[in-house]
Amino acid sequence: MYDLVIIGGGPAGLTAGIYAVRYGLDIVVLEKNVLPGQIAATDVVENYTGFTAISGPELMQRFKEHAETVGVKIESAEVYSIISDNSKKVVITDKGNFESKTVIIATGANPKKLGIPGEKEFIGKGVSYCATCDAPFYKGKTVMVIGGGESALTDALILSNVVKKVYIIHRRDKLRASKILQERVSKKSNIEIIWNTIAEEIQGKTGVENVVLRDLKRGDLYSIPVDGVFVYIGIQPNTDFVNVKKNNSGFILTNEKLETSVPGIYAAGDCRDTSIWQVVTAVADGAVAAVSAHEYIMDLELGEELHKKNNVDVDNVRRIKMSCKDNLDGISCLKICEDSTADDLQPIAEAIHALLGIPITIRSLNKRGIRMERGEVVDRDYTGPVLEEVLRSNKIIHTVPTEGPYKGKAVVVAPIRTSEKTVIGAVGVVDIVAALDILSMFKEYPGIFDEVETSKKKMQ
Amino acid sequence: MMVKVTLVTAEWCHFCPTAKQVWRELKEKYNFEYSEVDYDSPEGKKLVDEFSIVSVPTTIIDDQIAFVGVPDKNKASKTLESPV
Repeated sequence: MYDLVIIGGGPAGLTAGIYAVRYGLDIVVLEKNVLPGQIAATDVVENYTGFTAISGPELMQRFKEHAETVGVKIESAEVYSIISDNSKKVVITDKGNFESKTVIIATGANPKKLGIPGEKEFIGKGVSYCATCDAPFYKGKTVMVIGGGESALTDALILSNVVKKVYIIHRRDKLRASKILQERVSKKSNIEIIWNTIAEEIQGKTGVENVVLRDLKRGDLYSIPVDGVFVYIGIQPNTDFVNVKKNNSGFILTNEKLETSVPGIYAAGDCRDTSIWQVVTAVADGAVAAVSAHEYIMDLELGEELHKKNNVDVDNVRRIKMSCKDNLDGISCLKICEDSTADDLQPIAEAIHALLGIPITIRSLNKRGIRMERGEVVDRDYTGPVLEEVLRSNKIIHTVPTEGPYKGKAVVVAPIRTSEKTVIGAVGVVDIVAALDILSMFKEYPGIFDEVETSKKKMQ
Repeated sequence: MMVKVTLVTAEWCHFCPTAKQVWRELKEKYNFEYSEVDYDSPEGKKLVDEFSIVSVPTTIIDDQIAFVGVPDKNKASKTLESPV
């Protein structure tokens, strides 16, 4: 079993690999292409810090060399799906299954299609998404670039050095691309921008001959004869194979730690819902995702150790943590036994505190307990609020205050530990959404409240 | 008759190494005639003219353009004869 499987060997995936190896994780990068990353299709990169100008393929080659030098293992495989168990993921590929504790999805994106008649038919016969790949075939010809962003202008400039004439078709009256590119384009006498216009159809017999355009201001249709059409209207993430929460365009939703909706699965780079998709941000994502995966693995290992020592139901603790995110203000636990000393309770408190990272109190039925905050025991004779009152209410969401500092929040109780003789419940103040998540997780939970009652009766 | 696969490539084309890898891997499993041709070589120029090639990599199978871009491995294997 690997610690981490990274899917995709572009800038994000390889950087994640470099960081993971430095943290001592056992990892593999799965990549189906020999020279991966959208950046490999880029002529010159001028906005990656430290390189005034470097070709895309060369930058990608350097990433690869760096990764391989520090011991990142890259395997050629195409990923079909990921099966996620609580603490184990199985990555299904054409080269067999890879088992791992964590997964980083860094599968990147591909150019988005226009979706107009003629586009599909003429791919490779005049319709292209990559000027660096196909520009030399259009020497002396007339081509059209569709789009107004960085990629559109970059590739229009590449084409303008080879072809006779480049039309840029843009649906707005302003370009989205950076000023420096706009200035370069304006200096090219063979580039003409057609504003407020969209392409409606690509026509031809055996190859592209005409593009039908619609002027959005006037509303009329007309056509321009061209030999090639280069499309740059955004990107389509490669995320179909994975079942995590995504936005409407298919980009994977993450938080600031790059966690996805599935614990232990992270997303980095162009496949993620973010504000810009650049080499520099992909690289940064890779680092963040690797560090988050490392943290998760440390938690897993800590959990295994705690489970062995104290029989703490670590999976439940982890589920509470995931569900509450950063909303859990504190947690109180109750050990159902007649008498416990602070020394008995401390290992359990440490265990849960280490996993949740929030203030925790733990008491036995003799009303003596300890309180931990910020990794330290702050009270060895804790006699605070009585948790069993809450447990006895027999509800997982105990109460939702309508006023006071916890207005709109929920006090929830969740079972954390069970063994033959003991139950630990947790109570915390969380927001309603987190409370409902917890409720849905534990509504089937058997017997915790009965055990409380039985233990109480025995004591009386 | 043996299937004849010709892959037209270019030195600067970043998808070409992957296309080469796909066909080379298939070559180990299937029995077919296979060659890689640079678009700028005399033979390549002939193919570019004959098939109106405007993109690399392009795969020609038995005198027809079969794939433009990196071929899908499953589709590519289906076009080949029975395994070795």
